[in-house]
Amino acid sequence: MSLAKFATVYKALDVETKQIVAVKKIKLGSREEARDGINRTALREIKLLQEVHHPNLIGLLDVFGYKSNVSLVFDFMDTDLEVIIKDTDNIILTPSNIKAYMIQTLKGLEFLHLHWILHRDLKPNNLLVNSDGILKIGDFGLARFFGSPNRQYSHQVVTRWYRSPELLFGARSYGTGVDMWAIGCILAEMLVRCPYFPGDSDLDQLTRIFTALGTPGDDDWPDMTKLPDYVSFKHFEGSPLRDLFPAASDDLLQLLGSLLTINPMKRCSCTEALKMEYFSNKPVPTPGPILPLPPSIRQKSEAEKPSLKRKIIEESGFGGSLAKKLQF
Amino acid sequence: MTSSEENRIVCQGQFSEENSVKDDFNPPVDYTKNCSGFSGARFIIECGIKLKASVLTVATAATYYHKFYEDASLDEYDPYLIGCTCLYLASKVEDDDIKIRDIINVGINCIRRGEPPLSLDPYFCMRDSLIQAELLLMRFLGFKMKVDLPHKYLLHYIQSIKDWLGNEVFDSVPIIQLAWTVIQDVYHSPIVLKYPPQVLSAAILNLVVQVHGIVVTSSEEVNAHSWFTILHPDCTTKTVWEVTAKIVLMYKEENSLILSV
Repeated sequence: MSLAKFATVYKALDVETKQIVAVKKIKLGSREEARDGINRTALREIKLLQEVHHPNLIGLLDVFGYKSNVSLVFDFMDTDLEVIIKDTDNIILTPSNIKAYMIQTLKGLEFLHLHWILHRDLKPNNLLVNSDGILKIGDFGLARFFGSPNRQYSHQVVTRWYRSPELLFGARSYGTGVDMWAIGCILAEMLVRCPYFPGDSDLDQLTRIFTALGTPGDDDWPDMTKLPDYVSFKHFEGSPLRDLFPAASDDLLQLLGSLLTINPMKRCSCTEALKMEYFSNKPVPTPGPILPLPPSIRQKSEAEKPSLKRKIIEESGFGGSLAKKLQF
Repeated sequence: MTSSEENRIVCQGQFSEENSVKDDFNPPVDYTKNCSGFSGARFIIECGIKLKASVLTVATAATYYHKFYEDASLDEYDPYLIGCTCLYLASKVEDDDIKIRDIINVGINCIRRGEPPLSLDPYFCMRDSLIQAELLLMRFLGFKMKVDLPHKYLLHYIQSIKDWLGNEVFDSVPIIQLAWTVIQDVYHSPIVLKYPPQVLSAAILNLVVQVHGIVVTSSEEVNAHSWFTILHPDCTTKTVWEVTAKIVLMYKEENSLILSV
């Protein structure tokens, strides 16, 4: 199905529950790093996901060992937000659709933050979507607990395009703001249908951010100059969000502006974001089952369902009363 | 039981360094002659200190170790290989950056004191065994690798007791230092698996105030409700005293289990 750096992902059928699952097989036997035993990234994923359970977070259903492999069993997800954003030919992201994805992302992330976990690698590719239109945050390989004041964290986290200004300036102590900035970038990406700050180096990344939003001054972010990798930038005036996103509604721009605040201390939290007018105003978010999906997935899931249904009926002899169990 | 190295552990400046414990009280253990569940746990604690592992890493490793030998036997699996493996896996789970090479070298040196480190071939052999054992250990643990440790509860309870006693009484005896020593020592024993972390912490603190002869509540109250029951409903008078007694027993057993060669 997909190839991560250290694992292969398979689609599998749980023969007991008839549930389709994703099995991520972590290789231990083949490469150089096998000499170091189980991968720290995989361990983090196991450790954190065993403790958190939320409809908008990928569920770790089981972990098992076979021969010299360790496999993680996850909820099966049909696609991800990156595919949906890129599929401009078939999918129209209406304001309602965007709101549906944003609500789900923020609810999942709020739960993580309330449990003192930073995700640290949010990007459309890690926001997984199933054919019921449920979005789940996935890939916890970089996630970790935060809050210990004396702990130093790596600033080399988050894919560059979604990396916040404080990380780009080398901050070693940071908080939920790094995830919030990434959410802001993802929201902007849903509006324009391509990565909003596609920098090709850390400096280029900052230049793009400041060109669009304006170089922060001492008043905006007083402690910025104390960050380890701080470099002073040419003064950019920046443009109001209204000019950058002419098609967006005012309440959405209010949310976006709050997420893309350069000073991390002034950036909003998930809980604050979810309380903003954008989420109580019309239009209402699109209900999950009618959210648009890439055509290949819609067809596939429709083709699979009847055959599977037949199979279950044959095996169990329950007849039609099983319809409820068939929601994948 | 506490070795001089153990006192080096300083937690957020609250626990002062003590160097007064001499090696006479803690002669080095000859692990080759004492192969028991107890000596394996001691081995983990000794290696942990020498590797400057965090207290939480050592506690997690020792918990793995006791869990492993709940189901496995000492004749089947070498406790020192398993001990190193526990430390290695715990260091990863607790995000404590310890190199596998350091674990092997320190481990070997604790067993064969003063001898030079392993040459390349046996070293890589050992490393492969450790990696294999790690996989086995994870399966024994059912992949449940996050341990709810008593340390945070203990800190919390110490804070409560400090409020109850008042600064004057509290500062008159080294409550924090002794409690922090006992919580590390208690990992020699599999009792850490048998009781919830809240009960363990309450028992450790109970032992400490008893040792110092401090009365937390007036005597009439003791029989009805002990002060620790307020900390957590599981900390009943009976259970906490039961655990306190077991900790005392553990200290008594130390000599017969490890030092009388």
